[in-house]
Amino acid sequence: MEIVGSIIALGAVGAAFFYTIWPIMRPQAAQGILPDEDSAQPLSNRELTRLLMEREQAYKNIMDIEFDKEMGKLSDEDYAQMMAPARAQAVEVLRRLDARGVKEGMVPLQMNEREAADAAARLETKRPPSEKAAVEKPPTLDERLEAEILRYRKNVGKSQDESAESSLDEEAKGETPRFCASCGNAVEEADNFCAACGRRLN
Amino acid sequence: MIAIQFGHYSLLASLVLAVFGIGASIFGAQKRRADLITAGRNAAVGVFWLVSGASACLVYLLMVRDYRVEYVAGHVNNTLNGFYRFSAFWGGQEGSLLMWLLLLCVYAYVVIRQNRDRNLELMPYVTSTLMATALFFLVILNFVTPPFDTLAAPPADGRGLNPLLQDWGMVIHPPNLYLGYVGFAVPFAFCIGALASGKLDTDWITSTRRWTLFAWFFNGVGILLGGAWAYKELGWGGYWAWDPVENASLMPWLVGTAFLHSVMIQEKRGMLKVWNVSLIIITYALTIFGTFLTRSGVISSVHAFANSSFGWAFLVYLLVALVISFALMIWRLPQLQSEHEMESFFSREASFLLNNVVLVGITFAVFWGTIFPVVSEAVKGVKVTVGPPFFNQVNVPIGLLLILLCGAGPLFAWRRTSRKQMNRSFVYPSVVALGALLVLVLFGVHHVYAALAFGLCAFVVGTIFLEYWRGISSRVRHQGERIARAAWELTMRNKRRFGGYIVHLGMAILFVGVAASSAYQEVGEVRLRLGESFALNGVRMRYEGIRESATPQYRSAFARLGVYRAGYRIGEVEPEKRLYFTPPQPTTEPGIRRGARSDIYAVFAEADPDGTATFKFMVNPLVNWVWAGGVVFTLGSIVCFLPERWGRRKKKKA
Repeated sequence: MEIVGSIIALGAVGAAFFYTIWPIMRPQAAQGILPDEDSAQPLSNRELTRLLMEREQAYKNIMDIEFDKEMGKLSDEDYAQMMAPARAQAVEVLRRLDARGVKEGMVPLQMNEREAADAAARLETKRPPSEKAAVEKPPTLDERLEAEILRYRKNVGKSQDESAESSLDEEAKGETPRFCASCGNAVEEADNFCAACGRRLN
Repeated sequence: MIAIQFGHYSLLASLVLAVFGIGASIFGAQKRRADLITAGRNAAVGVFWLVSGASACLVYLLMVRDYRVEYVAGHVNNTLNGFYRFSAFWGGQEGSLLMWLLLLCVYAYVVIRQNRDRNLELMPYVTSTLMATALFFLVILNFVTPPFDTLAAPPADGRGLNPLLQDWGMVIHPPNLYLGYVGFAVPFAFCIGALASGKLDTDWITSTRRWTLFAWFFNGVGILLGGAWAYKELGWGGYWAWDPVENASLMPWLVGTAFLHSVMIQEKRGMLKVWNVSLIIITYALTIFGTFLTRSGVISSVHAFANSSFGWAFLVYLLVALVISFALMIWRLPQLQSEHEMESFFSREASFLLNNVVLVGITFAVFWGTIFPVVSEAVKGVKVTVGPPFFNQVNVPIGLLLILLCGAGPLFAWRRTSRKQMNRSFVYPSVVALGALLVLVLFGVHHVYAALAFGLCAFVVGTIFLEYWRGISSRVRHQGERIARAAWELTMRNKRRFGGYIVHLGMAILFVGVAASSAYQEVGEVRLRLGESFALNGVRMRYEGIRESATPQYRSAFARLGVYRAGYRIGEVEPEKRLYFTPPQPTTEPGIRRGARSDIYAVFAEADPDGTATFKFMVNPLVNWVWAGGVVFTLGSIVCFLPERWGRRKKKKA
């Protein structure tokens, strides 16, 4: 019995040791040196993933400020003061995404990191030629931000597939809560000028 | 014999693999060698399989009562049923250390699976940190307290499990607490990974948010279950005694609570990075320290069933872990600068920071009181025990401040809250709190701390209702939902925030129970002849009879007591006195009549030959609120833990 026990124990231990050192010993071993960062994705994908996650964070910040306002914790002035930098940050992220040829609606919102990485990989493989985008006059970044935030709010709670399809028909309805592009103040649908800073609204 | 050998060799091989895993991971990460990193990861997986095998062997040996193994002979016997034989796995020193290790290996395995293609920069260091912790336990299990040691002359019967541990609460309380304790190793490992790799963004926090929550939740539930067990089993009428080992379980929970709050500030505002790193290092250290307290027998406690000589090993490991962790942190200090300044004292950030300070303050007080006996013995040569009065005196006022913050924090907005807005937010909860206080004082609550605690809990509840009300009414207005629907959607769309509020609500309910039961407990000790009765706080108890019974493990005597309130019989309680055969040990099982208003608690202390019996009676007000608070706490934690998209309304198809 002692022999049998020893053999079984040694077998298990041997298997564990073999499993451990196999990555080093195998002939076609990826003796490879890791690239500078994560090896799973090429560098450009990783930047895109990061940008997409930054977009998520920027939108979440905006949503939080709106939520605090909705819950009565922010006065109008506080709201305007906090919204301006948050929106500026979101616009900056969108601008960088834009520069990489990622247009509105191409990537669903409300992603976790893994989904963002997948989306980035998808985009890298079928990247549209960037000249084409320049031909037709693109909407301004602020307009896009409006639309995207709206999309974001509506999407909270939908699965990804649903969110991608729903974004289109909801934009068409245009029941947008509007914000002034320069100061971030909420404006009425019928307003021509921002009540807070006086800028003309388009 | 096969199982014994397998267990023995598995642990030995795991030790070798863990050392290799640490080395390969760190070296691989430094030299950016993918093959070495993979090998390190595989080593961790190998340790997981081997330790699982060893644990299975020990459970098997306990189940078949193989008395050749010293641990088996020491912790089960012929009369112990299968359920308790299984629980004997963690009923003793060696077994419980093996369970610690097993849980750690399971977590390491899950973390490795989860992060196969994520956090690749961090993972080698995460693996090596987890394996370093495993290595420490492996050293102890291999060289200091080996669970598979055999006896030269196996006995015919074992010594059996400590009778106090033969209770369902004791069966699930240790694994529960361990799930929490060990769980904190994961965020700690990611933190070390972030420090070592220099990838110091919030990834390490977001990747481990759920792990932290998981560990924190089980740590909390473990504490509550321990309290419930003490109340039901130990027969002194309370659930918390500031016992060193209770303190040891509370401390990581407190610092973990601080960490859970302050990481939100880092995620949102890029502040408090050094603070967060320090908190998780301290939490981890406290889990090791807690295990040390339970295992070393340095401090006398109901839990210190072991008096072993390896306390030094824990202290050395603790010291090494702390030095390395803080050295890494100091090395990375330049990269841990805040991205923003605190803008106002009246902001969510500031209130979180204050709550952190308070939580850490309580932890420090508890820590000091726990180690004071040892310190005093070392310094003055006299062991000065620190009892509940010290802890209560220090912690009750700080605790009250904590409840206040728990109510006030949610009313602030991020960054800053203007005075006008603050007045608006604070007015309703304050009115609720003052109203509650007034009513209570009018109805005779004159205990200052208790009244304050009730008032502050009302404040917390007021805040939560206000937050819910604002959210619900906004949804009703804008989405046209009904109130119940709106409440559900609100919670599901903001799980972290509203789940947190539900946890706060649970804590408020719990604190009401704690305040009432500690301020207004009534105790009486009396010797009664058959048929005589005794009145306590409007409750009369009448000694009506005695009966005896026996099981294979113990002989017991039950006293039957009728309970009367205002002349009506409202029920009866049957406190029990047991005498276990092996090991020979008397225990008391209190008779408890639980109620929403108060518990009636009777202990059968002694039966005299002349037919009289001595009883200890207690009327414990609102104890059930403590457990009810625990249930609400659990619900809230579950809400926080749910996946982000879960439970929201689906889009209506046109």
